[in-house]
Amino acid sequence: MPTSKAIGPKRTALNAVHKAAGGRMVEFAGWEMPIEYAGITQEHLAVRTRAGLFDVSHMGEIEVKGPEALRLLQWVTSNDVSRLQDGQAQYSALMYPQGSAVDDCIVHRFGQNHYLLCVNAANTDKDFAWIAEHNTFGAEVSDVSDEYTQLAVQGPRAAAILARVTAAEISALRYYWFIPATCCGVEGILARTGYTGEDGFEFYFPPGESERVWKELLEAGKPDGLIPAGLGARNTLRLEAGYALYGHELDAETTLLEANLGWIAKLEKGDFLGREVLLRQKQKGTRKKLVGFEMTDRGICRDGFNILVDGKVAGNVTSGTYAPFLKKSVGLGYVPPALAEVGREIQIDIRGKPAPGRIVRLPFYKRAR
Amino acid sequence: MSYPPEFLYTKDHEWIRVDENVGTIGITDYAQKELGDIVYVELPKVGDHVTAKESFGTVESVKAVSEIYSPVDGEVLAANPKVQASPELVNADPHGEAWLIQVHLVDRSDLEGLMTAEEYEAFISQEKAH
Repeated sequence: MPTSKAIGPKRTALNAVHKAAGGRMVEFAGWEMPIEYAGITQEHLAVRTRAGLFDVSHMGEIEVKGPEALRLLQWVTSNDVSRLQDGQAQYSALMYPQGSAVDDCIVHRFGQNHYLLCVNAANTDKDFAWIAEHNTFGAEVSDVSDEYTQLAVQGPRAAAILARVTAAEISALRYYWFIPATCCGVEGILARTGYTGEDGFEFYFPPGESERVWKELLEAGKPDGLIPAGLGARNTLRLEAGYALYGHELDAETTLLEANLGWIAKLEKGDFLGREVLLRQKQKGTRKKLVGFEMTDRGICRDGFNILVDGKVAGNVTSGTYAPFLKKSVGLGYVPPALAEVGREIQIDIRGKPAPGRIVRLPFYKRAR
Repeated sequence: MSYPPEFLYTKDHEWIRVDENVGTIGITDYAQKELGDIVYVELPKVGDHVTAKESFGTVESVKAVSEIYSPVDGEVLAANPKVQASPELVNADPHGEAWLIQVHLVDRSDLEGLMTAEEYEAFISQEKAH
């Protein structure tokens, strides 16, 4: 069952550690979370060049088990769950019949009859209720969010750092695969996933020894420059990498095709919620299209600003920031498909003043492999 | 960082230093800390008029935008080119090198409602408690 409604924001098991480390705490998705410690720029650059440690325990986990688990997940999610092998994960979306996402998520397969979904903090209760409502198959669905602390170690040095705290074969662990692993003496699940555009890992484990694991990871990563990183850097990193954020690029009104997520909509896998709309849009086209753009002169684009083409409002910015690694302002937003071509000159209405920008290819940042 | 006693301060976290009828205006150390890493500063041009309690520019960090309010009415005599070229200077030296604009004061009575350093420090300790 979802956690009981407490007064005030929820706290992860590491709340006191963040405060002691000088973390600037903010309320995010009903949780009191660190937005930054040393500063977003420093944390962002640490992840791009060395490594950062994130507490992402606010993320929700929903377990789906039983002989009907696969059928339920094939119906409520857009990606093809039948393609997963044990120990493999896939990026997917929990679907509305309108072709839009209830949430985006990562589906982990433990076995044919056992899956774990990692979902957005703000959506966990909604997701659980949605899956339960559509569970006419009789699968076992449980919200197990409280059973996990989730830490993300992200950056080019992440694998070297992890290797010091686990005997698990992490060098053989491929992107979007996971293994049961003991890290810092605690048993959990180690996945090669992340939301930063860098190599990295996410470790899910029981919250009891969260503080010790956090401190041991930081200690082990010291020689490589590992520092704690907050939600501020998490957001600027994902934006540089061109990843969607629910509530910004994704919502109940936006279909997967509009959000450039056609690659997770496996229309040939059989029927699923929203498939009909997506099929129709694939033939007839969409109303809007997600584009990335950069500012070409002064000014920083922000969420909610209007995108102008030839002086007229053509769309809106869903995420905009100054990108600390690219050292320019970039943003994501929606425009009509006819105006979405790469290279198009646009303007962003910054508090009443149009500032020039240009539609560019996504992602803004791609790591060298 | 300490708050220079020769400055006056606003509730919106600007400071002003007055020499004769020239006021130098910046944002406070508290304000730069609240904003975080500053990446962009937008200032008025020389000759523009600023109005007491009205916005004359913006300071943007990676995560937020903050309007800067003028403590006084006046004509802009200078806009600091250094902070426009290197916005991070506002984090490094908000009370010194990173002043934002200088204005020619029209009416010194604008200064009457402002806080002294001591009053401002009491004010921000209350803000922090919230």
